[in-house]
Amino acid sequence: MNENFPASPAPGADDDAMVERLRAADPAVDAAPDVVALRAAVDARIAAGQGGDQLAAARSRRWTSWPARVAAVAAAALVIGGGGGYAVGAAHDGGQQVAADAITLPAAGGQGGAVGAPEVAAGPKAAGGDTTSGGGARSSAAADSSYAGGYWGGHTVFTSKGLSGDAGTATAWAFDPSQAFTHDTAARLAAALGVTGDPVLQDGVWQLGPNDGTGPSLSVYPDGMASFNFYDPTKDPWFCSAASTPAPADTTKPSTDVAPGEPCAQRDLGPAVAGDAAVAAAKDVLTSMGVDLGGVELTAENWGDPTWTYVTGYQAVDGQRTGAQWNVAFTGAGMQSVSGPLAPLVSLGTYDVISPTDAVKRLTDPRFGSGYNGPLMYADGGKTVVGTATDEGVAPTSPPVPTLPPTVAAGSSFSWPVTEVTIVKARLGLAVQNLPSGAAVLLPAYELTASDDSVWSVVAVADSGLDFSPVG
Amino acid sequence: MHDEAWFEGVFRLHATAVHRYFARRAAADDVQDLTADVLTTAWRRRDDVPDGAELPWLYRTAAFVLANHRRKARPVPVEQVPDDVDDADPAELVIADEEVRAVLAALAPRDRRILLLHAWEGLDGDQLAVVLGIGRGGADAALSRARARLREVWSARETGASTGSEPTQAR
Repeated sequence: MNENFPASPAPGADDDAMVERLRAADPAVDAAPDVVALRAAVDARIAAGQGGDQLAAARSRRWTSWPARVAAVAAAALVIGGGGGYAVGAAHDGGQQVAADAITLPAAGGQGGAVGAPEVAAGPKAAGGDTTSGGGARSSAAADSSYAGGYWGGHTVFTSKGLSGDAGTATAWAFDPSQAFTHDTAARLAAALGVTGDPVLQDGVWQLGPNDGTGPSLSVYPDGMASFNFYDPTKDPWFCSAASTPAPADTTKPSTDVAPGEPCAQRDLGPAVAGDAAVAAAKDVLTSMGVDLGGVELTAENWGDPTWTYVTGYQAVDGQRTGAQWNVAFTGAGMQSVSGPLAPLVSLGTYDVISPTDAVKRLTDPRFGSGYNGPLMYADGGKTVVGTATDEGVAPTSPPVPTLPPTVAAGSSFSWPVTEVTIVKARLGLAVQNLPSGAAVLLPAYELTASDDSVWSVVAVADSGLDFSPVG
Repeated sequence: MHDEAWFEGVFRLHATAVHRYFARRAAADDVQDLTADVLTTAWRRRDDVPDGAELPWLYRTAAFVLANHRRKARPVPVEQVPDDVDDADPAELVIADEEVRAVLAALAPRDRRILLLHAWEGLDGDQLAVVLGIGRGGADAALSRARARLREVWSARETGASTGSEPTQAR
């Protein structure tokens, strides 16, 4: 592949030729990750507490399936009941959760908002399978692929056992961002959070405060939930001395080309407020912002790092978590960031929903599949994360031994893998769905649990309530 | 809003680039683990990831992850840990072109780093500035200087080769 590039440039040759020569030596120009294995590795780290909080929750659904996580986490849950009183919980094993989990639907038509389908822009996975990834890289979780039938194709047959055949009705909801995406809202929130100045509409976003990390800033985004974000770099232990994110106390020294050393480093701000106190502090913050906390369940988590406490407020309606949530982060310096959906929920009325039995049939209906291989499995019992979370630090030292695929023998039958999944449990809940218009809605959806503990999801709204017109 | 959908987008758009970054600089066995570490960090620090500069932020983080990884892999006394992140050590780089490797070896670590971020990751201007953690002007100057050094080293090497002397490795 070097033929298009110049040989060694003569003395004084054009710089670009030399840069091109460097470029030609790029060993990874066509490299592509094993997306499923990579995604599994990321999820395992997140679930193990290296990465945080609600993404793991959203992807793995079951608190009790993460023994490593539960063991590592010191957390307190405190639930704000409908009457405004506190229902105090101390543990973290899921027993304190009041509302049922939100359901994650496969992304429809390439729309974002659904969690789980590992897709990448570049490069389908190279042929060659295991030889393209490192020896220890292919985790066992990767084998329990997120796609029906597994990454290597194959097909999945879904049957149901013991499920109801009764259809019913359920309420759908919409987020109304129009009430929230306003100058006045941004100004009111700025005042509540102590950010001075007048919000401006910039790049389609209501913004206030510097965006270069020199001070607190807030944004209201023009999306389906009128997402709000506030971030205060001055309360972040992660301290960057460089010009890109100078510290507030930094000198006005111009950023010249000095070797930056370690330009970003942790500084000691002391331990963050934790447990019930953190939940109470988050409640104060959200209340001052005018967030309706009715039905919001707040939990504080401290991922083995006492310098950060993350409070998550799970929005719920009718005993179902909606998937929308507020996040408030605290450091030793105080409230460091807060984000969440400003758009209020508006009832869309009652819709017909299909029966659990029909929901299982939908799993093999191409209109409701996703990805390139069928419906999305978004949790698989305890198997996804356990056992892969603690691999870090065990650095493989030997290069992978290339292995050739076996030669197929004459007259042999050809592998055509079919996985049989029996759905034994159905729960009607709610799932956030981003419509092609960008509007965010909460749709009735089924969470379907199989006999092998894998969990699947499918929209529950009857065909009569769905508009199947193609986009555009 | 840096939520799950945002992270899905970051993963979808940039996982390949981060993977390549490590494929260029680390043992094949480690590439996926390191890539996963960076993406996990992006989620954990999602509120800090600047909109519009996600990829440079990821590269910047990748450099620290790589440095930490090497620190762990090699028992190096703490006092010997370099202050500057060297993510372009020719001894670690995955380069088949021995001539390029020799030229890179003759460059200062910082110049090498900047040149490879430019040639391989395709960075310059504002993006390079974010990765290096310096201002735009500083990044432009640094790249310009690195290119000049590359020219010098390559010229010297050519001159040496034409007189029959073996190139010397500066390490």
